Amino acid sequence: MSLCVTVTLMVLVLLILLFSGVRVGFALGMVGLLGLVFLLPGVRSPERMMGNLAWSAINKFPLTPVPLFILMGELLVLARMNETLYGTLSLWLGNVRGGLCHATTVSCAIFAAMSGSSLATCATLGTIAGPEMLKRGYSKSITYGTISAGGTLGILIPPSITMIIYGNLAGVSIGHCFIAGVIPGILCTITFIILVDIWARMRPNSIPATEPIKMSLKKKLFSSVRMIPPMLVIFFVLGGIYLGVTTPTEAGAIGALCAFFLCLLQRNLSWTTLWQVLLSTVRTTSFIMVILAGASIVSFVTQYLRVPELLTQSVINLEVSPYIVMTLFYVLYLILGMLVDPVSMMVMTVPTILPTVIMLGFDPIWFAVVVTLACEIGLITPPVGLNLYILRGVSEASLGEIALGAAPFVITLILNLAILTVFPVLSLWLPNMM
Amino acid sequence: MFSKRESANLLLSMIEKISLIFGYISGGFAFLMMFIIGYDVVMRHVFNNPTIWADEVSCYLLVGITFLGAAYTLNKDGHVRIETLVDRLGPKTRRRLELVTDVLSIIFLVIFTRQAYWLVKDSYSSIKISATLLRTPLYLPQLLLAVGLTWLSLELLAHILRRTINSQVRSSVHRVITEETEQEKRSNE
Repeated sequence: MSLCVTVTLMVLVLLILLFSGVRVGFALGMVGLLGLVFLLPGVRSPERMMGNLAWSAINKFPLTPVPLFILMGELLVLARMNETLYGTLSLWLGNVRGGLCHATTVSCAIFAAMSGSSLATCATLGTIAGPEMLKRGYSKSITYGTISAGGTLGILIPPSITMIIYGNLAGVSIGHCFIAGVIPGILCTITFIILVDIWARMRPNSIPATEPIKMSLKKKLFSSVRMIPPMLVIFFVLGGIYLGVTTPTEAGAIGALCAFFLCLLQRNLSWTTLWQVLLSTVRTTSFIMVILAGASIVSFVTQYLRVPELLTQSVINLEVSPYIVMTLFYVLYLILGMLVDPVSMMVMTVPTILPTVIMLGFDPIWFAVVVTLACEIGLITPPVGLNLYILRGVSEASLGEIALGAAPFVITLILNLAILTVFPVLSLWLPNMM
Repeated sequence: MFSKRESANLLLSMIEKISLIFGYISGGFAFLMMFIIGYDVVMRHVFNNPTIWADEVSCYLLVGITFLGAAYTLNKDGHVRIETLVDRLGPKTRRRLELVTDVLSIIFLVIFTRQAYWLVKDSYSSIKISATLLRTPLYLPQLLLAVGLTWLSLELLAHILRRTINSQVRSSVHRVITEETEQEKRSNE
């Protein structure tokens, strides 16, 4: 059987399993097991490798930041950091046209600098900012579009769980990946703000002009005091990584401890809430790691069959411009993003595609940013966009309404993807200074 | 005296309770990991005397969180799956498909668990130790993998059995209700 047929068959089996609702980690493991048994000739009882593969896939020091950053994000949500950020920013920006949208976007961006995932941000702002924006007369589409898109910043702006997974798969420094996401993250935030402004000008009735609420400067400054603790947390976590003082693991532990003491100080913590936070951390960590364990078995088989090398070889033989190849990869990622979650997307594609990308002359750190951006798009495109589902869960809007509101943001993100591809320096400047 | 169904239900809820206990243990691991690394940071950067065990132990804790917590995560339906197509099916086809996928998953998990035990046995009998200063006998942390996978398989089995039992109960309840309404109709006539 030729290799092409084998690989197609593996992909096909995987897709059938995934779409019939087998849990992603198990589906990957099953395909891996089939591969081990049928595709490794001359190896006695090849399924024996499964245990060792799964063990060495998880028993890895570079993966230890994952539970720590998840715990940190959960604790900060418990400390009502989102509410604090949104409350303060909406005081400052409330009277600008579309101000509450900007407040949402910016507080998502700042919260993203303290949390590694996008779902918590999306859920909390959906419950806090959503009702208030609707009450002030913002249309449903612009409200939920902004919240769902703002939530996606969580995985681009460091710390980021998807970047940790990427760093592990690609064997590059996680700290560099983190820092590479800073400028693209700010770029996305700015483009979101510009988009909302244009939207407000083109469709004036989606954002009604309201009576400006008078607020004394003293009161505004007083409420801004509450921004100090989150800023300190960001400083400790990202500053430590950027200056090379702490490893990502240490930064995660410091951040989680800061968040823990913040919760203690604000008296948000009881035994019940602490266990809720810890159990939720376990759920997220376990689902990500089980996917990684399953994927490690498939990766072993594809590496054994030399699929990455052969892909690289065939791309060389095509003799087309690297940008055309990258565009094809982006299209693949956009389609995958519609169907699966970011972590599964990473583990299924990066080990196979990355050698080709490097051969085409691109930087693996730059690719971390681009892939993450593609994952962000996947979070807000139907049918499977996790942020859309989360918002539907906390609001009364239908999936269609939310997806429609998110559509302009998808286009903005694709534009950003193009900008970052043409100007890789935007991603690489900061990590090169480290 | 318990009826057959009651004792089966008791057994299933015991499996689920133990999954929850493992979940709590994993949560404790996450909490512990935060403090272990925090302690290491203080020792390294303040006293310039880093520990030799913190990094290695936190790796083992990660394995623990992942696999001991896996059964609890399954119980809370936390393992991601693609439901777009499945959601569009009728309830009956959907139940059947779920049964098929769950049975496939359990076959996979049983094979996986066996290999994990084989790994533990191999590490134990050939006395494998970690290549670090701590020299941990590897079978100890590997037991986390094996035990976690065992419970994940049992939890999935409980999941399947509970649904079959419940659907039987539901259909018998349904029959009783329809019989009653028919009787009422007849008495009304």
